[in-house]
Amino acid sequence: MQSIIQLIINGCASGFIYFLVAFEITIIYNSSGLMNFSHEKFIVFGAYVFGGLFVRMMGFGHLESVVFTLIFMAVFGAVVAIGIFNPLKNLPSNVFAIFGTVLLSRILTELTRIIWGAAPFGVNGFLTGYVDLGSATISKANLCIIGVSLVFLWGQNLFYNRTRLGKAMRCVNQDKHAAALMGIDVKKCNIITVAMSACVCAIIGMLIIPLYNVDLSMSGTIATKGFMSCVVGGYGTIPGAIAGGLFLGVIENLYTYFGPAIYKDAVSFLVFIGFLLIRPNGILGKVKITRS
Amino acid sequence: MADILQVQKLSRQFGGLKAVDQFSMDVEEGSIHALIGPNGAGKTTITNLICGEIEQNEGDILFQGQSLTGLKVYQRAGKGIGRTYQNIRLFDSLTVVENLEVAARIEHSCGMLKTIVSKAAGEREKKERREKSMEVLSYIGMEHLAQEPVRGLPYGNRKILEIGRALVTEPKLLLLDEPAAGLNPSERKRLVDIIYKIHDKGVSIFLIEHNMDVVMTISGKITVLNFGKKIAEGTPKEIQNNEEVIAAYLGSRFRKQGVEAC
Amino acid sequence: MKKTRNGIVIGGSLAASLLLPVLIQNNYNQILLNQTIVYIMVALGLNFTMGLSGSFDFSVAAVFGLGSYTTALLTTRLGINPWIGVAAAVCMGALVGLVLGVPSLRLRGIYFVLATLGFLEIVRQLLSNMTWLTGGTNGVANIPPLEIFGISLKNAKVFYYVALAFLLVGIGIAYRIISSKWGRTLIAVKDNEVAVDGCGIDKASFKIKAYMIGSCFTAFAGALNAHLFQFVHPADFTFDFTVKFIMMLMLGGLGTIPGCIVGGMIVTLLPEALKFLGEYYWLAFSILMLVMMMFVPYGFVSIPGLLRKRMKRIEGRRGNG
Repeated sequence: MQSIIQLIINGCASGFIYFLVAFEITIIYNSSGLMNFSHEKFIVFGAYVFGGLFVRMMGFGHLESVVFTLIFMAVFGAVVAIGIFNPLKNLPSNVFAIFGTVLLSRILTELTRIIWGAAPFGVNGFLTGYVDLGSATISKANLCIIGVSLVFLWGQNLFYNRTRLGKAMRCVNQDKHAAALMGIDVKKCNIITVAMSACVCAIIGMLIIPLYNVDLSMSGTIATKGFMSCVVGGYGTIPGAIAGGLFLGVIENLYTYFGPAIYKDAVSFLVFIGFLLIRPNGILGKVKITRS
Repeated sequence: MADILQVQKLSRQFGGLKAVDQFSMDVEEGSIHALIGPNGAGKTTITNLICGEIEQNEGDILFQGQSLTGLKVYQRAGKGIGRTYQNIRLFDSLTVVENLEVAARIEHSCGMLKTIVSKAAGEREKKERREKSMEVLSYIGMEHLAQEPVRGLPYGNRKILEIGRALVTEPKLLLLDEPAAGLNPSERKRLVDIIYKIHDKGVSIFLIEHNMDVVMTISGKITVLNFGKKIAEGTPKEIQNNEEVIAAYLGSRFRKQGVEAC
Repeated sequence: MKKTRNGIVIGGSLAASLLLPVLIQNNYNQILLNQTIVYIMVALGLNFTMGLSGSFDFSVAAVFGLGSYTTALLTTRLGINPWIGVAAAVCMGALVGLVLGVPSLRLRGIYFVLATLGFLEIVRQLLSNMTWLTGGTNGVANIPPLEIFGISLKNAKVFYYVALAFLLVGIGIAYRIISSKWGRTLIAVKDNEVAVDGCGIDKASFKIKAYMIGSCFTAFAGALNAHLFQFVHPADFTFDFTVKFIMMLMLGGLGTIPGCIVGGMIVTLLPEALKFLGEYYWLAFSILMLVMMMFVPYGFVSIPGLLRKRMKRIEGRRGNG
């Protein structure tokens, strides 16, 4: 039987992963109003670029590979933004744009499968092993997830509140027209946002390698839970992403103390549906007053 | 004559802001009644309260003597309250005549099953809707545009078409939210003619308007609103000479020029 | 003139669809054709909700799966007549439509998209985890084939004609609904919900009925599919399966019946035609779709209109010059 502390720490780890997914969805949604359904494959792609391209094919060490993967994914994100997302946004209805991202995800899956094959593989010695913390035994991977997420949280806070670019992006989130009139290059902000989002996806992909191996379907549940975290916390805000992700992760893991683990995913779905029906604005959401 | 609409001590708050505060007003049946006031006075809020898009915090609204409290928007519209919107709300993917057909109130409306099973019933309904819509279109002088897509219509025609769409629902009371806004003088003339025509058919009209030429010409009675409260009510002449209204809204121009302004 | 042209197109495609099985020798191709018909039916169903009201609906695979499972379980566990199983699946469709239609009134935009996604996941989890009822990940095997006037529909060609007859009825129903006030009002709801209310129309009843009838179509197709393959498996009803149907609508033309038919045919048959590309065929197909959508967002059925417009413009220029 796992101890409660252990469950809470593991819950926080999954919660932070959900938060990262929610974050990566939220920034794209805020900057361009696009629901990026291809994000799941961004995560998979990031993991493959790290494990398959840099570690296995080129034989770099883990740390160098992490850096190269981030650079690679940032460029990839920018290319996707210019080549696919921007033209999609100009289509007559949002439905087309959303579906475009779904198609993009299929293309990415096929590309990954053709390049690296369908067989899953692991990355030896990357974040493996356990650490004893008093009564609880926590895997290094989970500790690393929590550590990286905390650093990430601090970093994004600094970026959005202190840097010129971050402030400009917040303006774009609030009002694209007004931001453009104030001399902010909205298009550039959108491209950088997608690049950032792709980087976050790569981080998620690398962090979950010890849990799921490098596999074409490694991020299926995580990606969906990320969407759910957005709703549970409050769609379209970063604090909402944090609250929703942690809430889902902890609830899910605490549940395993009381019930059979196969219904773990069902619990988060129930929470999600409950929020949709009773409080669609989420934990932190405010009721919007609209003027007609 | 009886009052078609009675608003009794209506209040509505948004957070700490009292958008409408203890507002009372009676609209006489068969009259043209205008509500004026500076921007943000709460005029649109009152229209939305009457139509049921938002619920009041206090007070009551009676339509033909019956309370509207608790009724949904479409139920109120079904009772005979038609309206147009400040920012035009048409069905942009449909053509002009289809816009009216969707809204038309007809006698033999088929359920979904009947539409599937009986071709004749479906055709009859379609014909009935088409005839009714064409009738209204010729009434507002747009029958030559019937097959045009709404998306491409010029602004003036869109405004008029919205009135037409309200008319096919056979309203007893028509609420017009700034019908003259953005219209040029000749379009305004056309609007006034149409409003008179509708009025002659016995429909009561309640309008919100900023264009004083239009308001002073057509209204039988004017209510003035400021900060959610009624500050004056009376005939156009009385309103033009009311000191408080002049201070709050009209300015001194209207006292001098009076009705000749139009 | 437009009428005769439409008549020729309809008559021609009808004749072609009747003659097609005669030309096909290979059983694999015949089954592919049967599947195309089943899928077109789903596309017609999805067209009521997504096509007309314009909001995303990711739940199709779940509805299809529930339809399949309803008839599969009834016929294998209780041994009742397959046709009654199919009828029960349609009832199930109506029920699911109600379950989906009610939240569609309350939830706006993204929230509803995510709710349908959640519904899809829940159904999939239930189908694969409630082992005592559904057989879990083993699926349900040995579903009896349908039978009509003593002729078994196990023969793929017989199945084809029966399914085609159902499809024609389905198209008839879809046409009557779309061309009546029901279709128009749904489009109006998409354009401007507030104004629909203001016109005195109870949009709730319209939306719920649209969901119900759409889900009936989908569940019916699911039931036919179960009897066609005599096997159902929970892993078939995934997000990717939903995407297939949305792709049909997008590719053919959102909100139109010919669009559903053309889209259904392309999405089921084109990948087969691309199989000469070896392992790249699915990649090529996806890229083709994406490019197609970027340049012709309203699908194949909008191409003649676009061409006509272009022709007119060229003629106009000539006239002026």
